[in-house]
Amino acid sequence: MFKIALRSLLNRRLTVALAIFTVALSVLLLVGVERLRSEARNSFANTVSGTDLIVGARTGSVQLLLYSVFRVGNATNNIGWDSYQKLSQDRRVAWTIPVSLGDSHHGFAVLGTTSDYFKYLRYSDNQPLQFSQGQAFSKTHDAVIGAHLASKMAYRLGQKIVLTHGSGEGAMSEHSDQPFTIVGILAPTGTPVDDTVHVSLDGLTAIHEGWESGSASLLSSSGVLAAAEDRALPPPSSITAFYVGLKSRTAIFSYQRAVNQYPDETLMAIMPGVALSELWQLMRIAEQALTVVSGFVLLIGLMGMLTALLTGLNERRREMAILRSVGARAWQIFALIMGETLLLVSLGIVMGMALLYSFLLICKPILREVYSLNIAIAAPSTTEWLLMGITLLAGFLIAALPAWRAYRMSLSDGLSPH
Amino acid sequence: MKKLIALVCITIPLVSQAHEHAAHVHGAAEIDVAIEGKKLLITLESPADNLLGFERAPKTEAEKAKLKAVTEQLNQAATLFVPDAAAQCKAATPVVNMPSFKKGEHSDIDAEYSFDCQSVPSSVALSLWKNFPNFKKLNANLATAKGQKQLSLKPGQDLSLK
Repeated sequence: MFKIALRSLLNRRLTVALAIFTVALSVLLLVGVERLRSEARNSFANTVSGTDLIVGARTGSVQLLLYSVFRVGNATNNIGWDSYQKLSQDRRVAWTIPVSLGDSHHGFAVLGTTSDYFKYLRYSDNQPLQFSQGQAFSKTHDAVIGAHLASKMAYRLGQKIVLTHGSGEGAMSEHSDQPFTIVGILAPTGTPVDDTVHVSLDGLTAIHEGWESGSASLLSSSGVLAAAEDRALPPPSSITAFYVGLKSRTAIFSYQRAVNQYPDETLMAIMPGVALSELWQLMRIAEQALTVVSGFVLLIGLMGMLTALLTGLNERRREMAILRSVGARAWQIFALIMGETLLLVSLGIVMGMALLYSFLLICKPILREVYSLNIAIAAPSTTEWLLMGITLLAGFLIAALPAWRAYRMSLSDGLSPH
Repeated sequence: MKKLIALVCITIPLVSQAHEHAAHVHGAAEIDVAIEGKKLLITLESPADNLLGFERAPKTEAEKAKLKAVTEQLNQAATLFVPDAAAQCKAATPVVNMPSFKKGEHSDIDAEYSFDCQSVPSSVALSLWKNFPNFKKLNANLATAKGQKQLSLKPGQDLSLK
């Protein structure tokens, strides 16, 4: 009986293959959307770890998170250096990392900070930053670059790079008089750190001397300023934001209130994890829409298979009748069609997953390159298994219809073709 | 991904305001929850209306009595928060700030509750749903050893700390 069923399937191989392929594509989309959703979340959540609060000018909390951590968008305002000094000396504070953004290098963000950045910044599961080559900056014109930037631009230690004033495509004015030397290359983290040029706050101050009017003055473009590496530089007048690590987690809310009520400047402190939760709230509608669409695609895929099965059934009346005449019971015919459909759906699921993994393997570098999205190629998650289970269950329900028809027909049909 | 997020954020500007200027919405309140070691700290910030039913200086005898009763209730941690029994938490004396009822302003009540526990609590039952039925929604900001997140709670729901 099993052999006959297999032969029957082979006989209809084109239709069968198409049915499997339809299911495979639906599964690919359904699981793929889920995978992308959860990986995007992971990728974002991994970027902020161990930072209790982020302080910036008062704006939306999601906005502050996006520009200070993910380099998306721009700051509306800066924080005065005095305010930073005062707030970082609070007794509740264990460490702070000042962050100054705004310049770029071939489209990559330039971040001005102190060496505390390499000491205290954590990503993923409380991982510290590590150098794959060189060390942290020590001189004014030293730069430390992220792993992805280093590989994309094929930079080596000791190489000189020129920073661009401002960011984006329109930024044309270069700080060509004061090149920076690459002294360190960081190990890959899968976060925006990989795409960043890190320089000291002094470095940023130095290249912007004489730029008070917004463009280069004669003094600043002469290179005179760059020549003296050890001259004393004034502290920057302002920074974009700063990350805060507190001595105790229980101080988060009182320190947050202190920042929000800071009298000299309108500032805001956000909890990065809470701001991320808010971001997911915003994204939820888009995510749900995607899930609904892929759900419908699955439905259409299964309907297509049902159509193929029902049409096929008409042509297989003779086959059924012969099976009956050689002694097959009606329930065996039912089981045959049921088993056949479930086999097709299962094959579809397996093929869909195989397609998904091959797509991930092929697209991984592209997603990394274009969207800075790091997709780990891992075993299916619980939700993904659940989605596959739902697909199989839906296949089971859909199979019942042709199986029941075959069961009925095989009883009433004769051998004579109608 | 960055581009996608940027797009979403451009279309929905300034969704959340700074914590201190959280909108004063009657029926809603914010709780901040932090766990460090075996210490649990919960702060509540709520429009006075949720607890008192009015937001100005009490006028009638009934209102004065209500203010007194609510102040007393707020000074007992168990009328608002009950950590799970397994954690064996002991509440310290709460710090309650009742409003001063300035003219023409919304009034807020804030209170701070701290607990010393034997083990890390896994959930906190919110008895405030029962004792103060005017609460319709709570926003909980969590900071635990596992990270930070925000939860939105509906009446009757417990606060899960997992």
